[in-house]
Amino acid sequence: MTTDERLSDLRLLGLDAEADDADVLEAYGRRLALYEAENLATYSLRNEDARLQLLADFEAALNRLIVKPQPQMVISKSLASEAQEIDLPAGPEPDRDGSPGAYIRYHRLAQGITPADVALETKISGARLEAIESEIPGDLAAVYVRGFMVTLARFLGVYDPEGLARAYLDKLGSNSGEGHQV
Amino acid sequence: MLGPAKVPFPRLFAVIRENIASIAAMSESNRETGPRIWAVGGGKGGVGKSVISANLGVALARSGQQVVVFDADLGGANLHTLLGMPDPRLGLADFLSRDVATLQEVRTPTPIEGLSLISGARGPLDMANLKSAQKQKILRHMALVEADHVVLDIGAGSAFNTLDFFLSADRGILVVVPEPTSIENAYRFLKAAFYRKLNRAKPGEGVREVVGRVMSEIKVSDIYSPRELIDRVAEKDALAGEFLALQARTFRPGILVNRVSTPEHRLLGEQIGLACRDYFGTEIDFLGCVDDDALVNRSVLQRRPHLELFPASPFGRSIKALAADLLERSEVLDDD
Repeated sequence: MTTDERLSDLRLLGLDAEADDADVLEAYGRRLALYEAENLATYSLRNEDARLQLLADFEAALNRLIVKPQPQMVISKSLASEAQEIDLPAGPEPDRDGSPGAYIRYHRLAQGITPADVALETKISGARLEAIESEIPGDLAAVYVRGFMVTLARFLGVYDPEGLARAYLDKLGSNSGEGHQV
Repeated sequence: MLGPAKVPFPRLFAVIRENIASIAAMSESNRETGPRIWAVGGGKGGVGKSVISANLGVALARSGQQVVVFDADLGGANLHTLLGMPDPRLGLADFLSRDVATLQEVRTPTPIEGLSLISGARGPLDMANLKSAQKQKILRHMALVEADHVVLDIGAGSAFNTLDFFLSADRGILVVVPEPTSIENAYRFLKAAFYRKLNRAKPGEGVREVVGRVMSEIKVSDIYSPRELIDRVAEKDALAGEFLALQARTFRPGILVNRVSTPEHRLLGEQIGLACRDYFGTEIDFLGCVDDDALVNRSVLQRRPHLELFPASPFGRSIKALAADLLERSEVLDDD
């Protein structure tokens, strides 16, 4: 990816050249929220086709800016790391909408991806990953959580990252009783 | 974003210099002296522009500034009522009919020290029907008013004259309420103002031709926003793109969200700012929120400035915070 292309993608997300991955995630998350179908701030600015195009453009920019590594490469790394026994998770795949945290943990473990691998590639810390997989509400605003969930889902190669993010926010939203803080 | 320049360097510098000079000549905030001008508009009527304009004037005057509130809501002027004054004897109509020569002479003192009013109340004028020459005359003389600040209530709608008053200010303030109709109208207003600004700008001859040619080559149905248009033009011609991008960069109205009562409302202003950045490619300032306050109705009914009757109310505190913020911003504008 050339510098010009990178700058162009950053600019699309309202960022400058100094932006790091965390900034990119935050900007992407904010825009997902901003261009939701019925958002008062944006519904009248663009028609439905334009709105979907814009969301697709943001997603494409995110994919180019934060490169998702191949899971196979990560497994090699895991195998190469200190004599860690990788156990495949027992039991069936958890229901994504009912247990989104467990769903994520299942898919991570199934590919032999350690929390360290996740942290290295996505900048999501071990502590935060643990909280997400255990569905423990934190102190982050929804837009950040959305960004993290989408990144995690992409990294793990999970289908429909946005759906997963929504499921997670819905579940924890109802847990905590508050709409915005997750 | 910009591709390689298609013009050799010496010529490029000459053309840019020429264009920037003409852009600067048209520039709204090119004045070194004269009052700081804040234009308050809303696109839609009934969002609270006039109450905000009047009380903003009061708040600025109370912090020791010399302030003129200018009621340019022709056909709907009522700032005098909100300030607790009778219909002023002299007003804008007298200035335009040449009965008086300067705006200073139609300045009416108000009950608030440091605050005077220029009223649009008398006369058969309507903002839409104001002639261009009259508008130019008002704008010229407004820069000569002896005050620190002019708070200009430009009324509702997007008539060219309304847009021009908005664009000519040091900072335009767009008032919205958290309702779909208000926000729709606000965007309509901003789009109209933006295109008006593009049309009024005077690029050098070479650039105008290029912009025209490039725009005729672009398939308009593919373009969803002014920002995309500017990016497409820039792809085809760096200089034309830069000219348009400069217009976008210097289009910086502020958004004020009135009648705020929930956390979602507070997010709205930031979101509008973000949406405008994506749509216009410009930094739109979110100026803050003004709290919903049942006491506003009461002060209006009593025909007294709200800040006089209820200074510690939610609305009162919001307006005082806005005034303090604008004072800080005007110091920054001075450094530009």
